[in-house]
Amino acid sequence: MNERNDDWIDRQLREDANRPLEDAGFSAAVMSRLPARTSPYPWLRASLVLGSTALGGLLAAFLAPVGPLVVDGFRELFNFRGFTPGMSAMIAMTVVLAVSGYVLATED
Amino acid sequence: MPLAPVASDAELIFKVIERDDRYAFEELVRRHQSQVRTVLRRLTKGDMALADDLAQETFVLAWRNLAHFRFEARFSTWLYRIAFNAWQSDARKRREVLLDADDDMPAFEIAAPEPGVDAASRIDLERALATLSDGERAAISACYYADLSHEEAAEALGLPLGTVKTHILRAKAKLKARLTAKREDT
Repeated sequence: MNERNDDWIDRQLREDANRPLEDAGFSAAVMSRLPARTSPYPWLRASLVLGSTALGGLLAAFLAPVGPLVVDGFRELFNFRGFTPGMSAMIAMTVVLAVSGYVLATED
Repeated sequence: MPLAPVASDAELIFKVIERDDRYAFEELVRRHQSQVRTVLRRLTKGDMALADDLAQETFVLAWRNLAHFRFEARFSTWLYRIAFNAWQSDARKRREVLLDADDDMPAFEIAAPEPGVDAASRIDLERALATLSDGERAAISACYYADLSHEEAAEALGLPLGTVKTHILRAKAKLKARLTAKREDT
């Protein structure tokens, strides 16, 4: 390549590339469009919420004066013998946790 | 409060990631907007409104994904990759972009140049660039306007290295022919 062949094309392209464009409100327009930034660790918040919910549920089941209903629910869940009130409570809690997890995982 | 202009890109990026610092990100936008918009103007054959829309989309995507920036490449190179993807995605919505194809697409109507000494030669160049095929224009935009190496351009555009080099050679030959003819006409 020499000046008479390609160099003047190179130079013209580089000059065009280096010509600055006025901002003219562009940066402000970008800043107005920025969404709230998502956490780089979205699983952390989901884990904390789900973990504390599960822990709270278990503590409530064993410490609160609710009788043997929830404890029985655990046992009946593993020895399925038809739906019982305890098992229904356990399934309901599982569904609530699953839905919470889904919402947290897909939340922008 | 605006940041001191001496902060490097890396320092600004850390501030955005660690403190969610919007002033730092605004400084990054101000610093890189000119080149990103210029690259996109060339890619869109001079369609300034579309180019600015895509440039805004590029910076919004950069904001969303800044935590994934690994400092393995220049920040500008990372931005250009996002810009090329935004352009290709938009172009696919409009029609199929054939980066390997050799066809000459109809040129977008170039806006009138701003007054200046080299305005005429600039508008000639813009018109000549707009007559290149998508692949040739993308390769020229990547290597000259985004200042990427041939290897970086191949990666950013998703093309084989040999294809990028071929596009560059053909594009320059076409530009030379068109601009030489234009010079001889005047």
